[in-house]
Amino acid sequence: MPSPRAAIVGYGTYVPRGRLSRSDVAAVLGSGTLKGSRSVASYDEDTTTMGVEAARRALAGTTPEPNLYFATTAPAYTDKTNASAIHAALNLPHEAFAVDLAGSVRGTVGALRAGSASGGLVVLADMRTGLPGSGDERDGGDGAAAFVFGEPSAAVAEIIGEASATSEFLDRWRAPGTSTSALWEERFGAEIYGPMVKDVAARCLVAAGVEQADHVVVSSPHLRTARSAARRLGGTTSVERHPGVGYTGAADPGLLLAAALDEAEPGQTILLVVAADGCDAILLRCTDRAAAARAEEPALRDIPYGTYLTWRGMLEREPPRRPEPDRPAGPPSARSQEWKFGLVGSRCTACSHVHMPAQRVCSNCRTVDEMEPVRLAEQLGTVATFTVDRLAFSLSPPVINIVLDLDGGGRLICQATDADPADVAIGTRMEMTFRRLYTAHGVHNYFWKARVAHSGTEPKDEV
Amino acid sequence: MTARLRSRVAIAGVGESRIGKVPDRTGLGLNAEAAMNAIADAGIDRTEIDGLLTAYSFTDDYFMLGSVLCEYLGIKPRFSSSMIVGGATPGAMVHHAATAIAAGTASTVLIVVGENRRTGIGRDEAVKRLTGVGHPQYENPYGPPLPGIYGMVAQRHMHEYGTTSEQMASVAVTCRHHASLNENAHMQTPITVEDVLSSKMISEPLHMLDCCLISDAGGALIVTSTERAEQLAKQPVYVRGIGEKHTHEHLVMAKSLTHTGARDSGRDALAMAELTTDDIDVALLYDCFTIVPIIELEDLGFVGPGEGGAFFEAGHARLGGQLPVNTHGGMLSHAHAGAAGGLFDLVEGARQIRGECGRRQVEGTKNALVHVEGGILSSHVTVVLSADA
Repeated sequence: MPSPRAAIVGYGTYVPRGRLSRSDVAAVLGSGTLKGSRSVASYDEDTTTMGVEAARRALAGTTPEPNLYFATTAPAYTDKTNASAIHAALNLPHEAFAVDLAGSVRGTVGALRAGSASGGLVVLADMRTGLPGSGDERDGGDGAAAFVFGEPSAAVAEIIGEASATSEFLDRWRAPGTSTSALWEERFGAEIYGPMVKDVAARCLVAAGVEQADHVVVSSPHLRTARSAARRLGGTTSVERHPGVGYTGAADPGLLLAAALDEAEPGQTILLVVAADGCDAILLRCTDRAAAARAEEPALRDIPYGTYLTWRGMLEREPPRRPEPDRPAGPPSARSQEWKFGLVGSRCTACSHVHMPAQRVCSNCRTVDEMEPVRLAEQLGTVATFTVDRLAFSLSPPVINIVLDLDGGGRLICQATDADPADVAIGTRMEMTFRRLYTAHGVHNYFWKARVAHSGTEPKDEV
Repeated sequence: MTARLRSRVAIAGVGESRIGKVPDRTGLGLNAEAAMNAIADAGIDRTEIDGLLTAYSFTDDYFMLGSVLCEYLGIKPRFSSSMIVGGATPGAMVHHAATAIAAGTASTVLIVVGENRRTGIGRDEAVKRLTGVGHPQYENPYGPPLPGIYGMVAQRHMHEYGTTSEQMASVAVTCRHHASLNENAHMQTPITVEDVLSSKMISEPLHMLDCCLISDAGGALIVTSTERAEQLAKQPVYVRGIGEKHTHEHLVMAKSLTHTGARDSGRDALAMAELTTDDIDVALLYDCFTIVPIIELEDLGFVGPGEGGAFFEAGHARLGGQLPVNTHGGMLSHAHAGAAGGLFDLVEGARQIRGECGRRQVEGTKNALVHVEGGILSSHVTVVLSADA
């Protein structure tokens, strides 16, 4: 007899601010008129960093079982676990288990099943990239979602039914080492997915003794399947739920489920159907515990198509006249893991002075070895000074460098990201965000940047 | 304190290499040219040098630059050291020379620095070196480059005191005016405030003309005991006061973004010299960026906090003004080549006291204050030079 399954106790989503207008794509490629937009991860984001952002919102101060399951089709590394970087950036306990379910969209269902079986954190993130002019480029999107599984007593929603089917057939594939997928003729996939979705959804509902779910969301990389299944099941897809974002691959079921959880009334059921190399359905029942308020989404930023192609490596441009950067070295990265990934500094217990990075000796009162670790990633801060640097190299010039004073102490020099020069001034309120500074020789240099905080975060004291 | 060092030593010789674009000289060649000019200026023989102080070089990246220069110059000193405190190095070298001479470790010290940073290094490498001053993993290799760091300092000064871009530009205009009267200066064509403000933005609020030059240049000093200097050909320039202050390396560890250790180094140097700011006839202030002399004027006590910009804008720092600043043109217009930049402040201070400055001479100069700094407002050395012991 299996032990009671863990329930969803928290969730969060992250969609990058960047938007690529499809009409911009059409104008450049001369391919007629297209409407709408898709979400675009910035040049300093990848599935790992977006996963961290979603997970920070989902965790919101809670401490789940020490398990982390990360699903993506666009891992920042292969032959190296990406979940470990997410684990480090979230400053999760040393005893935790962290694993990738990377490669295909169905890994998302695996991550949700693992999370519900053992409890813990499920992180789903993806970047959908296709060749210029492809459907994946046009209809895809970048984003992330995260779910915390924990005690049923604290549940926002619990899983009450599941069903699956598996079939080996060629719909889409990507050779290792390439960045875009190839697709078989669309009608072939539709013929296989159609009956399978019908079968799985029916079995899931029957097993749970539910006639009709109150909310139905359908996710599939085979977009025609998603549309027709949603129509038949009385549900929606990301096209309706997240206009302007697009189909976000391994994150898509998560973004859909989060949207349904936002809307569902206590006691209502949600049927999540994922059709990817088979089909899986998960039926959830919402509790009367109110879901956490969603974070206010900041203003969007239009990303020109040329910029997008450059960021994705699809447009090879003249490199900066700079020497190749050195790759980050392994030993110092590991040695400073808590600081570099977790943004953990230290606070002097004698005088409360905060040090970034952590120190043994207080630079304020000189007390020795009376420090306590303090995670600073969730602190807001105020710009003490800044510069808009036109000399520094960046894929998104000009670089805005700031000196940031964090609430509660701590001063950091870092880059502002997702910002135009006009957005930053002395006194601007900022929040920390986990980013990829650069990549050298295949090694990603992850660290924290700051971005303009939402309104309503004004400081208490005059700057 | 080290008041016992007051006027124990004097500058007996000064020398410059050709300055600007000198593609026919190596970095070592510039050092040798400056050194030989200083030796000739002092009227001594090369073999009389028994102490050598060198700094560092981006272009001659020797691990032991001092030994290389001993070999290159054909000298065999009994005291030698290579020093790095960034732009403050020449001031610290004078301090070390004074200490060594007072202790009897050496009698005649050659201080020589210089690089062919203008023609001896490619743009890629120059940018790499100048962006490579930050934290190896979190700041390098993409910055913030040095202009960005000083841009942040300038931005904060503007915020706190209302200092304007026009005021900062007037620092560059002042230096260029002085350089136009100095035929060995790298850039001699006069500029206007409008020229500065319309030059390319490098790192807000700093325009290209708010930033110092990159030059080929070498500079040298001969420092010896007061007794010996008084027997040599040229008028001795007494090292009457020295103060140092070293506070931090990273900008975020600075106690203030707008005020510096210059307050302490300046106070100590003037105290040792038994002089006040009112006694100073010429100020030679390290000017890597236009905001820096503004802050230095304030920290050294010549003006109150926040008043530096207006001082320059009103023309008080020009020749003929209340306190002429950087009469040779400074690093903004005369030369900047690593540690040599600040060394020329000492060269100019000595020449003003000797009355050798021709069209840019400040008549009757008795006391010159030199302030050099290194890093990110990090290291400060103030030297008071005087015609009187």
